[in-house]
Amino acid sequence: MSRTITLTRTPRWRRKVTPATVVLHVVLSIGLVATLLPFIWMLLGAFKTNAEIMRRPITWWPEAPTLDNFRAWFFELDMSRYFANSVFLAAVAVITTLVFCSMVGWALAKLDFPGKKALITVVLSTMFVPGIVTLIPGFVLVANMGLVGTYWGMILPGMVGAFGVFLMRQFMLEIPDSLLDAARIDGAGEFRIFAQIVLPLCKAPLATLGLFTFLGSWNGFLWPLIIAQRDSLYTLPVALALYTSATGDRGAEFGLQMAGSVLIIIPVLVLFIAMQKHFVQGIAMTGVK
Amino acid sequence: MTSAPSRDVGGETLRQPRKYVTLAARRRRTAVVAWLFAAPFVISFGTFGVIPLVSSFAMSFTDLRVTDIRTPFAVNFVGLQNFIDVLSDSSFLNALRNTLMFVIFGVPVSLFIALVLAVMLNSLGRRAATFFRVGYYTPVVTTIVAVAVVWRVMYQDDGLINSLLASIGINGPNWLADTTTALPALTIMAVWRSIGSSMVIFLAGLQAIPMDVKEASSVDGAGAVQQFFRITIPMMMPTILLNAILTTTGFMQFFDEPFVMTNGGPLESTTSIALWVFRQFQWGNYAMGSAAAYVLFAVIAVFALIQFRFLRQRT
Amino acid sequence: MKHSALGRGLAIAALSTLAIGSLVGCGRTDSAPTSGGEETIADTATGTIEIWAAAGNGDALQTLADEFSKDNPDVTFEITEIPWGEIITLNQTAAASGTGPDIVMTGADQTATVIAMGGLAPVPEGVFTPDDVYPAAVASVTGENGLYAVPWYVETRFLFYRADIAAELGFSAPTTWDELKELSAAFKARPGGEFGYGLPRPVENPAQVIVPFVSQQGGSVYDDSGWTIDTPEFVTALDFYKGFFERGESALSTTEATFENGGVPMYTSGPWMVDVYGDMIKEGTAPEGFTEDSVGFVPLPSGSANNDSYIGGGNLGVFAQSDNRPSSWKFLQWLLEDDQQKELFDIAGSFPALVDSADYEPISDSPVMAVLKEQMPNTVETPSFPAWSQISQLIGTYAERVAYGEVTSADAAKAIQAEADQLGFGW
Repeated sequence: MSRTITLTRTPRWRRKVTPATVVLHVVLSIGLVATLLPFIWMLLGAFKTNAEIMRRPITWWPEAPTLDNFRAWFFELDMSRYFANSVFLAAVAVITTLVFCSMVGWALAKLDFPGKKALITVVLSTMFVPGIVTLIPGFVLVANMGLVGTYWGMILPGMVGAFGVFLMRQFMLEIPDSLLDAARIDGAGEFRIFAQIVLPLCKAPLATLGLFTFLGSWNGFLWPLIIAQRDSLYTLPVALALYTSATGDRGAEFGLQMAGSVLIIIPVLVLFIAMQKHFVQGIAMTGVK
Repeated sequence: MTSAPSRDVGGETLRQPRKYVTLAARRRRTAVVAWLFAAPFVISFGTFGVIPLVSSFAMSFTDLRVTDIRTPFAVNFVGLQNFIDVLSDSSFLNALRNTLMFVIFGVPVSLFIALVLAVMLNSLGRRAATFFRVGYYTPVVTTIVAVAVVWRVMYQDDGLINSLLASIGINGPNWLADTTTALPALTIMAVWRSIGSSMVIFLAGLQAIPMDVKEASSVDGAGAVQQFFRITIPMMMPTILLNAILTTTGFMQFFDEPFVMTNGGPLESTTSIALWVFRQFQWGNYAMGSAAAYVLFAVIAVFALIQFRFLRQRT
Repeated sequence: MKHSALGRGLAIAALSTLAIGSLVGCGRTDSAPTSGGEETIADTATGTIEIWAAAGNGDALQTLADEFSKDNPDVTFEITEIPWGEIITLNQTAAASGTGPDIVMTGADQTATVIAMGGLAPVPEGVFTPDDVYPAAVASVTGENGLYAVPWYVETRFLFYRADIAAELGFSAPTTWDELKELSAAFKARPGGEFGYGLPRPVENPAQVIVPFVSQQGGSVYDDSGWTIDTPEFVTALDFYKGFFERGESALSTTEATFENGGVPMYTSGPWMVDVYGDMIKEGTAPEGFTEDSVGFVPLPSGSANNDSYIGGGNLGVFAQSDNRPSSWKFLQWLLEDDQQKELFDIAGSFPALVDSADYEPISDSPVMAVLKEQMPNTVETPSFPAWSQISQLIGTYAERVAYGEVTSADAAKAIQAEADQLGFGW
């Protein structure tokens, strides 16, 4: 007897509004407010003037609310350029990471081949080294390839990360072999199995990896800065640092910083919300009794 | 002994040659296919991930400094001297101790809260779940500099946290200025920032638990808590292992909070290894910095191995 | 396929060779020699000049560049702004790879490190006359073998104090260390008073005030042969610093007290704060009682010898591996002319590095610029050595321990001296 089980979310009709549920919601809500407090301050700060942000004791609701910070970002600074750069680089990073990492994750999870252990070890180990150490050698490498100041130079080093491999592999390990063997007996080739069976089952980890990769690329600061070397290639976080840090003859621009931070965060949150559907997709399993 | 199966088609017996594949040939084929799958990643990763790593590792055996940056190959090979210097430097050992304490307390707390949150969110309706999920994920995407201001204010002697504690009769310390409380204060901040990521991964993992298994256990009379410990956790082991290693690795490289909030103080009680390495690089002591980074690498690797052994067995 | 340990070892060795080989540079061009190389100034500038400007200076440079192009029509400028905090990192990567701009801007306290990297070309004669520029600024561009950058503009810090509160208490601006201590004590002791003189906390790079304190006592942290930290002047400076924390006149942790709410009625900062306070008052977000008259600013009080303050500012250097050096020098030479220095003040409010250019009406007419002008000849530079940033961190660490009472100033001075001797100047 075989059954297909998909969603594991408790269907609506089964959920009763019990006291437990209410308590759950209340507890979660309190936790949420506590969690969001610093973020709320940042959000409100985007509408304040520099002077008000520096006020002590701190104010919450802006006393003299202003849109100047946002205006500055949109009209005085080349926001559209930086935004476009950030979007482009993030999109490329997400696509390449999803494709590459799912492929190699699959190989590491379900296929047996020589060098497998070595590969896993090497990949994992690279996650354990702080990024600053590889900064200069990495830059020299890219420079020797003539890629400094180019989009390729910004894309290539960020294309893949060890984290993605690890994530995909752990999830793919859970796919029942029986499912795959059945497909193999039916004569499907490995690639077909990958594309038509495995990937659809991996919507949740793929969505997760996509989100994390997007976030990593979107928030990336140091690499884009040292490789861009020209204003036209700058991304949003670089622009944020550029226009908001203190210099010798002016203080830090807190208002701009808050507004800039808010602007940078919004696309990530929007993406997260939009992808919610994929986070709840279950893995279809065939239970053979 | 192979025999070609025969089929009857319209009265005629046809011979269908079966594909005869030796075990070795199949193994080879799998290997080729596997490497094909792995190729795109291996090539790009090998170039941009591994090569700089190897050369920075090589760097740690030399005496490379800021003045050598134009002629990196004219440096002297000093063998293990950098590693010895690093491991006998009292400020490094201090940083090592701080980092380990931070990890040992912070990681389990972070993982536990994230798991509980994930389980709670999993039982909510779609809209509520989305709402809470995004909310709890938000700290992950905030920039540390923007939220540092608020956290600093919250941690002040007369700040929000102490006010709340005072209302239940506890006299809170001057969190960031006291050498015993500064690190815990930063740990709380780091946990706050890390819960969202772990939660999202746990949520994805929870989806894999078949409902019928949960149903069956409910029918058998298992309460929610029992279900959690007897069914959820064991089935989540691969995900738990994943998160454990990711969170530990992240916490070991703890840098943002001490850098922005306390600059390693007070009295170096919040200096982490990553901050120590960063300072070496700022001062131009590249080789020393590299050596220290690889000491950190070794520590992380050891922890990861332990976690693999410990958690793998429970799968 | 079995992998023997030997095979694995060989693979690693091969990989390493490949790694190092790739870094040697399949594409590294032969860079022009820098030490002793003949640096020349072009008669007219040609080609492209790429400038890395520190954040906030791009516009000023662009305006000046446009003007320069009128007399030098064959040159085009490409100006990119970079955040101040990343200047060292960017120069590191540029120097290591040989790929960089033509002109590089560095902060006064960053120049020594970039010089140490070999990232800057030596300044040829004729670009500017060192005697015409503030000595501390010249010191900040001096490397082991001469000048490696050109001081472009300067700035320094001076004393801000609540003139209104001081007047109420019967005090005028302090001019000596003793008067400073008096006023600080009075500020703290007054009803509702919290702190006296707000010094940078020990974790906030206190060397920025301690080194000037040393100078104000007539001492120095270095001389021709090495570091001179274990000196009476340094101990006095350290004692002076910690005294304010001991008496509770300076805060050891972050607090809600600020200048404008009267909590920290006195501290050291730079000219931009005047604008900040002006904005605050205009917008109405200033606390009650805080008006234009509340903001008093004067040159630093003197120690036994002088009232030196830390010099800051921006320096411009030519990237050692730039392929357009003569034209770059021409531009820098032009920037250091009196007219351009005055124009820089007009468009950016930056104080000229050329001493005589400060004889300029807009400068003398502005109260805050006048104070800056008075303070500027009395400045001391950040020690211009690669090892300095590590030593200033040491000073900070020990200053913290002294402030917490864990170690005496005398012992701290000895300990710092010992470690500094080991580090040397760092060239």
